[in-house]
Amino acid sequence: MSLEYKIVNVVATCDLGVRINLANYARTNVASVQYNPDVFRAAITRLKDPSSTILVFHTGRLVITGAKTCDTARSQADRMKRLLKIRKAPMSFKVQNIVTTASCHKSINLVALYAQIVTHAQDKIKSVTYEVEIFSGLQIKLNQGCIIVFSSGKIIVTGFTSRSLINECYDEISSFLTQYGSSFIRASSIGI
Amino acid sequence: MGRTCPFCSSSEIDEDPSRADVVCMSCGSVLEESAIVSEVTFQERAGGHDIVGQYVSRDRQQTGLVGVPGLSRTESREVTYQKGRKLIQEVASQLRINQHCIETAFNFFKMSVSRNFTRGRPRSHVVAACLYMTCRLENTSHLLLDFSDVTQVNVYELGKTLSNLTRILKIQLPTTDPCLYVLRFAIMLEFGDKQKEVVTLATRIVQRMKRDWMATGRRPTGLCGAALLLASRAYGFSRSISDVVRIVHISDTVVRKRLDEFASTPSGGLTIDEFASVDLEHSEDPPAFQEARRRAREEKRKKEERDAEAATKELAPVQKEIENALKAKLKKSPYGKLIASSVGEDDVDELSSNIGQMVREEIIDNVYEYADDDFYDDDPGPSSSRRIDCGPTLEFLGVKPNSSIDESVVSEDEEILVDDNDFDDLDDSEIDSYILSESEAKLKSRIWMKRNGPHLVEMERKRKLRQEEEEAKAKDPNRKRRPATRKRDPINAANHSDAMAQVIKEKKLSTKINYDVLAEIENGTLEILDDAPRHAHMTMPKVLKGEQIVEPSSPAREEEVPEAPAESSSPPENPLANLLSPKPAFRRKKQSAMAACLADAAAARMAKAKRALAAAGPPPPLSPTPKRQKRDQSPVKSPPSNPEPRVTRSAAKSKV
Repeated sequence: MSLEYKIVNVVATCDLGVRINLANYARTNVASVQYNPDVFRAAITRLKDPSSTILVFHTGRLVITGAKTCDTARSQADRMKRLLKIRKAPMSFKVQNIVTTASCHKSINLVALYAQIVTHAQDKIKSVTYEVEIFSGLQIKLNQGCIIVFSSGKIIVTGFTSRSLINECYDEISSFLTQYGSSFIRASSIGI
Repeated sequence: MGRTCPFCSSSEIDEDPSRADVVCMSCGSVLEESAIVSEVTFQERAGGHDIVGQYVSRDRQQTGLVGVPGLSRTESREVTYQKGRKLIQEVASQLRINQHCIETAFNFFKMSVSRNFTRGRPRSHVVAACLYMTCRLENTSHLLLDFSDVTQVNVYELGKTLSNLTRILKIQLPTTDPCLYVLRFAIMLEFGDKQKEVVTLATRIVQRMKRDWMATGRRPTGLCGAALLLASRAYGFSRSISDVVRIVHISDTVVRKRLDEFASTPSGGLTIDEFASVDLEHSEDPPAFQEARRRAREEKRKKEERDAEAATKELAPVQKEIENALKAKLKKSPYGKLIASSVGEDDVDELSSNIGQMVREEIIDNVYEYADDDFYDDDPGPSSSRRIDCGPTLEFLGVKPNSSIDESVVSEDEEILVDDNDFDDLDDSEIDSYILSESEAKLKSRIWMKRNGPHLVEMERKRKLRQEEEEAKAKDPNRKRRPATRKRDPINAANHSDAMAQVIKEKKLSTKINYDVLAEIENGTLEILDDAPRHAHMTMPKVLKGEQIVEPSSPAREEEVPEAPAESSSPPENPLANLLSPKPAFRRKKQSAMAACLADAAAARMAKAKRALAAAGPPPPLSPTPKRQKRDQSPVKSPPSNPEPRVTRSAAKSKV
């Protein structure tokens, strides 16, 4: 079973290297900038097309969220550099988190899945949590990232910082599903 | 107790506590006398007979030794256990948890204390987690919500603590079964005599829900609530949703939703009797999965519709062409003449065939136009009025015209965002679109200052304050100055022994060593004399005597060990004795230890030398002797005049 995933959110940080006067930036420069220092010490800029939200701190560091791909995040950082009218070239950019979703198109019995993971996959995972009274999904914490599985067959994978790691993770998931899936996947559920 | 006599192997043994004897009845041998018994004894006192001894509880609560000074009253861990136990008792009594569970929970608590789990966590969290874990393992019908109510802690925090605890204690908790909670809630709903039947039916419903995959990922209480509602209605009890909500701790939206979901399953369509008797084989997909599938299907359908429309639009001109061709054909055909015959050549004789043709064509065009208008007109209002000529109107027929035939255009929806990827030429115009114009900037500036101005002033003030503080601190004359650490000169030495020598010189490693003597040893100026005869189990000297010991290593290597390869038979004076001499007696042990270290080094070197020599005779075992030296040196009190070779066997070895 091959899982096709979609990247839903990319969070990245960037250091522009110069100090920024946030009050000036927020007041006069740009539309769609929120800066309320008594609430939070960063200016919140929202860009469109492609849309993303960027937090600008007075040290010159940025936090970029809401981008749909890593390249988008990178280009947003460039845009911010231009918006802030910063000519300095060096900029350290790092993707911190990539959130992806996928669907295996089959309904999953989470209780059975929990049992299977506990018996078979203990070496790769840090912990498994399935607490129905707390959260309706089954949460698997790996060494670097986290997987959430729902009974509708939808899977969320977050916490990884690069595509290759995500691909690895999804390969592992699909191999686990093909190997042990018969015990927790509803046999007759048909995909779309 | 099954004791047997060791002499005659008889098991008839008599124990008499009054005489404190244990005697064998068959052979008469006394097995024990004055045996110590552990019985409760009483003594006579003024008030009556009192028990001897004190009652000591299992948890070692020390109440007896109050008056002894210097003895801490209770250990910290005991205190932790006591407090934990007390809290567990409190919480458990409020939730009516039985004693066995309390004991188990206390054991969990003790385990968590030993794994440092209670540090940095409020005790109530840990206690609640331990108790809930016990309840889960015992399959009681306690919810995490109950613990949250009692301890007034956020249920999600408790959940986090619980998952941490299970991870640390490496315990897997069984998953909650909704059927467990049915009885508990049924009791609270007060069904009276019919409680048992209601509970049975509700349990069946819950099981059916589980089979229909309604239960994965859902709170068990919601399912219970819905099931109990159905069961109560089935038996004629009028329990409303709000009753259920009050007892089950779940909101009414959820209950309604569960009811709807159950109704949409095939089991939901059965009557009560049918349900009670028949158990359908086929199980349903979970509702979330059904939702997702339904949405996907909807999307697909919409997409297809849109595609169809686009296709139709494409086809329209082609269609028109075809129709025109057909029309032309019709005009020439006899049918055309038939249509136009009413207005025809009969009346007007002058009409030539051409004109007749033209007129006929005109008529047919009109007919087509009329038909086209009716066909292609999207606006139903006027067309319905125009249709009066054609025939009976829809109103006449009694059918109301539906004004909203169909939304012409499906709302352009939110599925796929076009993701434009050309950022190579991100031109300034786009950036400029973000930047405000002068007037806009002024306006925004005014608004912003109004909102955030005071805060800016505050920030400025705080910054100034902090600066002043720092300046004051820098200038403070009373500031303690740390003594500047003197920079040490780097050590230049040819080899490690020189380096060691320098370090020792500088640092003066110990005050108990006579460094002068050490220096003398190092320089080799110390004369080595020893008159004492050889000890019996020193085989080495025999080999050494009369032989030149060629030192395998350079003389500078060993600074503390005398390296005289002399073949003199005179026993060496104890060089270490000199070391020992001026010092008071009680320090000798330390010196002897030092001497032992030196001796070890000497012995090792000697062994090496011997092996290198390949002399006759096996080398004696050197390792056991150093230990013996230590022991032997302590009783030595008057070293200088003592010619005993045993004083320093090392010296003896290291000589010659």
